[in-house]
Amino acid sequence: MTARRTHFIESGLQTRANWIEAFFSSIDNWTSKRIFDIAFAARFADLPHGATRARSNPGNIMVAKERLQGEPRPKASEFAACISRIADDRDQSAFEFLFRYFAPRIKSYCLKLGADASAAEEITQEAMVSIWRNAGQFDPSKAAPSTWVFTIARNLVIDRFRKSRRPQFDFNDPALVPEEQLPPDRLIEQTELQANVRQIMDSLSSNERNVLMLSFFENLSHFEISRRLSLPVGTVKSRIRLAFGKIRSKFEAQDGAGK
Amino acid sequence: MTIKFHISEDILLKYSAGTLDEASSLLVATHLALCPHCRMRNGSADALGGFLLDSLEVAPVSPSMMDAVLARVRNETPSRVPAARSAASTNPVIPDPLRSYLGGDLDSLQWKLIAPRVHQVPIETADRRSKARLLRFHSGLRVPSHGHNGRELTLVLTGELCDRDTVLRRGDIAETDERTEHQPYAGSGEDCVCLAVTDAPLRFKGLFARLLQPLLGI
Repeated sequence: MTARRTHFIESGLQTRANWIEAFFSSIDNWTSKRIFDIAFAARFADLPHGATRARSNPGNIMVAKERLQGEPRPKASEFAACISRIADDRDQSAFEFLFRYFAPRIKSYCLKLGADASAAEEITQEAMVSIWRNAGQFDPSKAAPSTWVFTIARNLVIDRFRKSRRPQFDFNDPALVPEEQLPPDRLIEQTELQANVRQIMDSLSSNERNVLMLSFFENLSHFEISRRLSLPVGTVKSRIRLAFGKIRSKFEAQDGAGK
Repeated sequence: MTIKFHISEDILLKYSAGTLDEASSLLVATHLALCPHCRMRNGSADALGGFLLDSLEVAPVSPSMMDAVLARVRNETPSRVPAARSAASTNPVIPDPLRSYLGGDLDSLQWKLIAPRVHQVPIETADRRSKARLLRFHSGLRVPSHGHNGRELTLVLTGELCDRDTVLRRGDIAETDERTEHQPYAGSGEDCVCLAVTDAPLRFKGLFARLLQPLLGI
C-alpha cells in the first residue's frame, strides 16, 4: 500500500487540488474510446452468468480481495433489498451490511484519487449518511446499487475538492424529452445494461482488466502503467488491444446472432 | 425530434468520472435532458464507475465510523421518492440545468448584440477553465470563417446550424478542435439559438473579424 501511494505521488497526481483534473486528462482518445466500447458493447452482449472467474494473481493490485480468494460477491439484488429495508423500516442491520461492503471501497476510491486518509474518512462517512438519507430515492430499475453508491461518492468528492458544480439534468423538468421517444429496439433496461457491463468486465483476464483499470480509474498513461507493473510499454499496449479485441468479438458475435 | 449528433465517448466518460469542466458539464447535462439515447449511454458510463468501485481493494475505515454514522441518522426517516414529473401547462424551450443557469426561459433573457445579427447571453460559471455562452444567430447569418485554439462544443436549441452538408437541429452537438476550420451558418427558418462552450478563444481568418474579436469577447 505504501509503495503504491508513493508511486502514485511520483506519477504527478500528488496535489489534492489537481487530482480531479488529472484523473482523466491523460487518457488518450483512443483509450477512452475503447473503454467506452466496453460499457456500450454491453448493450448487445448477453454472456452467461459468471462467465469467467478472475484468475488468481497475487501481483494483481487492482482486483478486490474477495475475487482473489474466489469468494462470491454479494449480489446486486441483496444490496437493493437492503436499501429498500432502510427506506421502509429504517433497518439498521441492513445498513450495517451495506456499510461493511461499501465504506471500505468508498474510502479506497477517495484514496486512489489522491485524498489524504482523514479526508477519505470524512467523505466516506458523508457518503454513508447520504445512503441512509436517500435510500427512498434509489430506483433499482434505473441503476445497480454499486452504480448508485458510486454516483453518491463521486458527487461528494467533487463538492469537496472542486469549487465548481457538476450540473445534472432533472428527470422532473417538463422540457426533458422522455424515454418513450426512443424506438423500442433501442430501449434497454438500465439494470440489464449494468449486469452486462459487469459480465463483460468479469470475463476479461485479470491482466487485461488490471491494465484497463489503471488506465481508466487512475488515469495513468501507457508509460506510467508500464512502470507501475514493470512491463514493457509494448506489452501494456498489446494487453489493452487484446482486451478490447475480446470485447469487440463478443459484441460482433452477439450483434450478428441477436439482431 | 431525432437527435443525430451525440456526445463523444471521451466527454461522456469524463462527465461520469466527474472530471469535466463545469461549462462542458452544463452542455452535456442539457443534451442529456433532450436525448434519451445519451442518457442510456451515460448510465453505462456510471455503471462502469460502479463496477470499478466494486472492484477496488478495500481500505479499512476506523472502527468507530459505523456507530458515528448510525448516531447521526438512526432517528431520521429516509426521504421519499420526489414528486413525479409535473404535467406542466407551459413547455419551456430551454431545459434544465441550462434554464437555471440562465435564470429563466428563452423569452426572459437579456440579449446583448455582439455583432451584426448575432446576440449573446454570457453564462456565469465558477470554473474558469472554460466559458459558456448562449448565442442567437439571426436566420441565414454566416459566421466568419474561423478555426479554434482549443475545443468548442455547440448544442443547438432552436433553429438550424449548418456547416457544409451538415445540418444540426435541436439537441444536436457539434464538437470542434484545433484542426477544425469552418464557416457555419444559421438555417433560413427561425433564429438559431445555441449553447457554445469554448476552452480557448476562436481564431478568425479574416483581418476584420480578428480586429473585432477583442470587442466581441469571443
